[in-house]
Amino acid sequence: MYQYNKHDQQSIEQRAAQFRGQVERFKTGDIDEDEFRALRLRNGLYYQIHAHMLRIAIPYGVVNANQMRMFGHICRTYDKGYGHFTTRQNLQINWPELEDVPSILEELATVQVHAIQTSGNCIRNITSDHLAGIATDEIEDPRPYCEILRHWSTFHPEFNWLPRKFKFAVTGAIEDRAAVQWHDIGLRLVKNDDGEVGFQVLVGGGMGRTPVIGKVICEFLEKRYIKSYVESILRVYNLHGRRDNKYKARIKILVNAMGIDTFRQEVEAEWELLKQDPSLWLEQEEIDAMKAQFEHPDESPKVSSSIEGIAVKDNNYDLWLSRNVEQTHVLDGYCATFISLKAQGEAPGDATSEQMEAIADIAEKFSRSEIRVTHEQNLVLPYVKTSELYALWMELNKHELATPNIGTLNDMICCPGLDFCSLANATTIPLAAAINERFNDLDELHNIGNIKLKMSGCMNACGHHHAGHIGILGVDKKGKEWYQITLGGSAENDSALGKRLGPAVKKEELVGALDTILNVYLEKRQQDESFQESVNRLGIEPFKEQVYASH
Amino acid sequence: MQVIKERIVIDYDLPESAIKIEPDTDLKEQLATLSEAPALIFDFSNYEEGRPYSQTRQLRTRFGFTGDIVALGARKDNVAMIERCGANIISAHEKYSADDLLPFFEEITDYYQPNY
Ligand code: SF4
Repeated sequence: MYQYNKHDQQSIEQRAAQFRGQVERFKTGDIDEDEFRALRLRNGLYYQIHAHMLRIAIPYGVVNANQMRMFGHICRTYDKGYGHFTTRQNLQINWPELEDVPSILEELATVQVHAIQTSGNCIRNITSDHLAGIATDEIEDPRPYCEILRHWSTFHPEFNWLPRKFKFAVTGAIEDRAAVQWHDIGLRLVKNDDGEVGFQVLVGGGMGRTPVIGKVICEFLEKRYIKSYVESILRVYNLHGRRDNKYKARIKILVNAMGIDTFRQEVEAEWELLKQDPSLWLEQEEIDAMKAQFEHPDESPKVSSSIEGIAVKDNNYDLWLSRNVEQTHVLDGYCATFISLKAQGEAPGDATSEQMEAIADIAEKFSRSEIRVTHEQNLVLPYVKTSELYALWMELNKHELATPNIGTLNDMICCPGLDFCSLANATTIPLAAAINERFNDLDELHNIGNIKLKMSGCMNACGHHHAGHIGILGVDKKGKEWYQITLGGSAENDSALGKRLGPAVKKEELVGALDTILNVYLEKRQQDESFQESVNRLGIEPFKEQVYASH
Repeated sequence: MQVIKERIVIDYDLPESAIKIEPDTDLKEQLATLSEAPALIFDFSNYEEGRPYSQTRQLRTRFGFTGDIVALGARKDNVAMIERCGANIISAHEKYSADDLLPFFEEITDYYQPNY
């Protein structure tokens, strides 16, 4: 993974010192409440119902063991002993004291971690494929480009006060695991007819109140121009994006209002000059130097191969193997292993300090010290020897980290909802727990198979409900919590917006409604058809009929 | 008025023919007039208003403006960005003096954008 040079290290140390100064000046009244709000947000610090919340950046979801250990330490020392991994591959802690935040940042800086631009109306942490660099369906590893763009966007003087937040995602694979169509800018590494690799650039995707799937603004962009091209997009957005209404301020609204063709013309008018600026060129040398940073970490000796070769009789282990292990890997004898952060009774994405420290130790022992955070709020150990899977499983089990439910109904994405978020209409975490409890039979879960359930506590859609095979949205009806169900959404190659099933259902009826939906699927599915395939084939009618007939 | 120019506090008289640019001014449309002006004035006192950063940058690069770009309302935490985007005459927000801002240019000393 990327190692900071002196300059990178100095910047994050200076940023921590700058933030300490800002906190002090806030305390002495030199900067007022509103100014401080703008400043703290640009360093990931929110103020929510109960307390501050600090969002720590995990660029494109790559973490090493030392960093994970530090997270454990931070959560224990400055918080309540646990943290929350987010759908943007970041880590949030929910209860730090304002006075402690500068010290937290200083401690994080010692392991090359920061909170720069993790909130506020600026360019946010760039997300990517959690299997980057190890997936076999990859055209090119996206991480070098993520890091190049992280540099480009960090402290960019022109784009610190955008109309609204701005999110990039980058993928280099055939199968989109980074939801690039749902981002303000989505970048896909593609090959053109001449066999050259460049970027397909999408713009204006996003969830929230007005969910929109990104549009292609450039079919093939030479790598050399990636910085100048995105700079042009950002400039047009910064100048023309709406600032009068925060619900209409994202770039997707601008692109829709202008039309993609006019928007493209504006961008190209800016780009004409910018593309001639050599300081914005991405030259092969720079790419090669960056790629060298992302070579596979050192191998440890003796690699044995297939999983079948290991005779282990344990039903739970078998389940875990089939659910949590990705067996295709670019390196022979290796696989990627998912750590589910969706154990029964836990809020999705949460991990305790002890678990983080255990994961750090485990990564050192079994995964060349590397860990990834997925946008589905799980972790991945990217370099596990297949010969060591059983030993790893035993180890994970000790720390309740071997829940074999990756990709199942219980592996849901869920925003913090009413328990933590001041914007929420409805609770989400207790409902996630209720769903987990109803569907706690592993055989049943596996029979239902792959399904993406995504839940948000309000229209802001932090839980990505629009893109869920089953989406659940909390709505407020006269002070009561109701839930709107959608079916058929997706964040992958077949990205689609979920369709509304019908009127919202009451809290008490939600689990029953899910039950009904899944029963319709189990009754009507053909052969190996997945839930999503069934919904696509059948439409929502049969589901709707049953759900509203039985309520 | 007292302003910062090249990181030194000086007295500066705003030329009478200086033109004030609003965040929604279309620079391209008025380019003929604007490029004749000895100075263009941008108001940065609305903290979250980000357009002047792009406007000043555009003027300096795309439109090749060589006159004074005067930034009004600069504060400690945005003065470095204002300078980097092309303003050469910087006047402080009413709650500060120009001297107050001077130490804040160098809180971060090295940036990733060589073109700014
Ligand atoms: S979706 Fe709404 S309730 Fe959930 S975290 Fe986002 S803003 Fe809060």
